[in-house]
Amino acid sequence: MSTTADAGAVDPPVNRLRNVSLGRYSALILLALFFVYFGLIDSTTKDVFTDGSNIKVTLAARVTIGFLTLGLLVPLAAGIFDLSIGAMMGFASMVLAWIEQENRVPGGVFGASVVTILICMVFGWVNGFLVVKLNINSFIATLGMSQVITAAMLWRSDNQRIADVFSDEFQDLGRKEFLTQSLSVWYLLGAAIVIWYMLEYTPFGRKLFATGGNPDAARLAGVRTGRYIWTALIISSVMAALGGIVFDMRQGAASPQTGPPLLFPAFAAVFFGATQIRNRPNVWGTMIAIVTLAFGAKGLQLKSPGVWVEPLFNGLALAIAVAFASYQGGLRLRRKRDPEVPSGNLAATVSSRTDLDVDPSG
Amino acid sequence: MSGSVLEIRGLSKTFPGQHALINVDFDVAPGEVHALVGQNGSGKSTLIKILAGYHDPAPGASASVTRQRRGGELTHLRLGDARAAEEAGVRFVHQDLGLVETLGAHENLALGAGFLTNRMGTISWRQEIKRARAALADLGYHIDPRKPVKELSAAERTGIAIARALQNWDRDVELLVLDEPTASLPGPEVERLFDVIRTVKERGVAVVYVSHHLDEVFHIADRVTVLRDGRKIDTVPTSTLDHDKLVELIVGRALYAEFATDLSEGRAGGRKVVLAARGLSSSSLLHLDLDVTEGEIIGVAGITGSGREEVARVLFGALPRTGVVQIGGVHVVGDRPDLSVRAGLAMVPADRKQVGIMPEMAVRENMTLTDLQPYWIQGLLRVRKERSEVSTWLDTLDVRPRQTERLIKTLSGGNQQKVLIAKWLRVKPKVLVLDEPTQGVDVGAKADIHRLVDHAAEAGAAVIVCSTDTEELVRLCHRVVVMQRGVARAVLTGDEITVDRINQLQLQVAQEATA
Ligand SMILES: Nc1ncnc2c1ncn2[C@@H]1O[C@H](COP(=O)(O)OP(=O)(O)OP(=O)(O)O)[C@@H](O)[C@H]1O
Ligand SMILES: [Mg+2]
Repeated sequence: MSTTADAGAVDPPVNRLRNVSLGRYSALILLALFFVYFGLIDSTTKDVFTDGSNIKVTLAARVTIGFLTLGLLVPLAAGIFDLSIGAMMGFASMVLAWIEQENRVPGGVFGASVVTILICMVFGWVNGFLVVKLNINSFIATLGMSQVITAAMLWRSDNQRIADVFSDEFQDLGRKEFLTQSLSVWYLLGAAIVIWYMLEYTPFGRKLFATGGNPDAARLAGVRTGRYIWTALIISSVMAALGGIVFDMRQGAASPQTGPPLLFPAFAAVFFGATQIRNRPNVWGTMIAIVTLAFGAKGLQLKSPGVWVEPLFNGLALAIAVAFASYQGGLRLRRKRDPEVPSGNLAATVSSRTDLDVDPSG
Repeated sequence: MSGSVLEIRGLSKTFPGQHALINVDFDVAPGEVHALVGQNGSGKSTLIKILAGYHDPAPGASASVTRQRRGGELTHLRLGDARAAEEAGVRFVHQDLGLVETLGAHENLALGAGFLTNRMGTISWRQEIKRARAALADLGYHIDPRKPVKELSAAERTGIAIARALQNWDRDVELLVLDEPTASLPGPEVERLFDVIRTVKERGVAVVYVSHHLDEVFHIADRVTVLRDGRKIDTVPTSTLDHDKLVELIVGRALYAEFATDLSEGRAGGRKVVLAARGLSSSSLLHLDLDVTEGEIIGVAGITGSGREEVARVLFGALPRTGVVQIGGVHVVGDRPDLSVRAGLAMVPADRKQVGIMPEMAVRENMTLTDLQPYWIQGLLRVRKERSEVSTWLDTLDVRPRQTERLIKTLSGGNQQKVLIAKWLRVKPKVLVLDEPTQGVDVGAKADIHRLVDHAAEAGAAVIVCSTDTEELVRLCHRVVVMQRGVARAVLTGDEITVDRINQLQLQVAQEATA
């Protein structure tokens, strides 16, 4: 056996070149293209686009979505969707405002934030209960939860926004700058590092991915998959709460309308990100995706202002990125499913067709 | 060559970093059973998948089918087109069957042949079910066609895949391609499959048959083609070969007298009982009692439906059970695999694809999931350390290619199996439960795995091997339990453990069961 062991191997250099697929870096390439086009070529945008303040504003505007995407990543690693994260974020921002309004929690705004996070964790716990104990599909359970949260929020707030309850010191935490960027951007970076460490460098993260990769196999390897799913949903609720708190810092006001519309852009960034760098949900791929989407939308808005630009851009960029990554990754899409490979975790689902076409022979 | 049903010329295929097939020519004569053999990763499945249109070949390949049923009409196949082979009358049973797990047998069959509709144009489920039941009964399977495929045993699933491939076979099937159909079939069912093969062969259908069981090759095949590392070594009539010569063609050298070793000398006497099971019952087991001492290897045989399929999972606690399982005198709770693992139980499941691998993860991640503690140092998972240990295991089991970071789904079936075995051997379990441990594994690797199982037992583990491969049981076990209807019907020890005796017992109890 040993004499023939290497007969099938191709020279390493060739091998390496082949394995680098541009699709894995399409977000970075796109980002560069945006800077070249909007920053150097297009005369209507080129004065503004590369301006330091434009960069700062563009990045800071994405911090809330950034927290949501980090929150989505964790359950997605375990193959679970959390559709309540948008509503949860809006809810958190309202809860913080209410507590500040009533002013009954000791410890000032810090105490209020802790209470907000704890309340969101309870909702995350309930999500976990529905999914793990009652065995409800996560898509449905969290969709239901998002409606319940929205209802609670509307009932309590009468659909009114709350302003003028946050102190200047609190708002400074979101508005002040550090190394040319808004402080909130650094908070997001900090959270990203924590999630990255957790997913990639702890047994917890590995088991989470295993749960997403094949829950039955993971269970037989001794992973308590239910616990991991449950924990993941609690972590995503914490990220939603943090997103809400940072939102309040930056805006100085809370409104029941803020959360839900952020769900799609957050999902778009996570799915886009899951095609980047490595073919599964990952923190830095997602962060790059957010930045790319942010600058792409910004450039288009500078050219032709209109609120419709951004959703259109998000949708198109997502579809194109996923298609590009699948194509480059050599995954065959049409009628060519590998008969030996079950559809696996999210990354595979994202980058191959998700409809149930039937292979003709196998 | 005009006398061929299938003629392939100059077939090559390169995956990133690896040549899977190199300029292979392959011919199948009308009405012959043509075996395709070779070690794990030699390219057998790749050849078949290209023919089926799942992979594109490298440019320069050609293939044609001569349609005997249409007066010798010659069809050139567009390789890489998913419909081409199907339309030319070639049918496939793939290595992992390719059934839709959540659907019943009737739906799976209908997906292959088109749905039966009634006058209103809607699907007639009653007819579908009837048709499926008849098709399965033809092959000797009595399965409720409405039961989701994922709830069936591996052997039953194989039956469904074969039934699907054989639909309308007397009308338009020229060639039937079977990729390791017997990897999880017990002896008597293999016989049944052979009957089916003989029947279709008599009616002029040619068969390509992939298997690692060389005795089957001699039994059923007229000619055999050997692949080694993606190259065709030779095509020869089986009548001019014997077992050793074939092994030599496959491996490239003679294999030392592996199967002659005698291990069955009085092992059990006076040793400590590691695993004790009392009154184990589950959906297909009835009050099973089992004691396994340290260093002992116990075999579990039985036809499909005898309860053999569940023994491993019930012992391990992957299925709900009643009864008592103790390891070293300590009670182990059922239906909690995590606690079983902690108590020192390990199980390699039979169903590699469904519950074994995590397809989109690296070989390394698949292997180390069972115990990450050694790499968890000062708050960081040390991937480099992990990688080097995994590398060592890949060497030990001769997994090819030796790449720790490759996605496990891109390994050949046999190599995936080796990774799954390493995954448990590395944690040095007290009780090792193996369910079809060498399914889809080639002769050389099989010997390696058997040696590792011996070593594990010598190191004090209690080993339970549930297998449909009777030779394997004879080679490994100190005691063999033959199951029937959920009950241990016979226990063989010492010299009683022979292939004939086990097969005979399995059949005998099967006959008693139907009588
Ligand atoms: N999708 C893929 N991507 C990359 N490499 C692959 C892929 N599929 C197969 N290979 C490689 O091609 C080689 C041939 O694999 P193949 O599945 O044809 O082997 P096989 O002869 O069927 O082996 P086995 O007996 O174990 O099933 C293997 O080395 C395998 O790792
Ligand atoms: Mg194969």
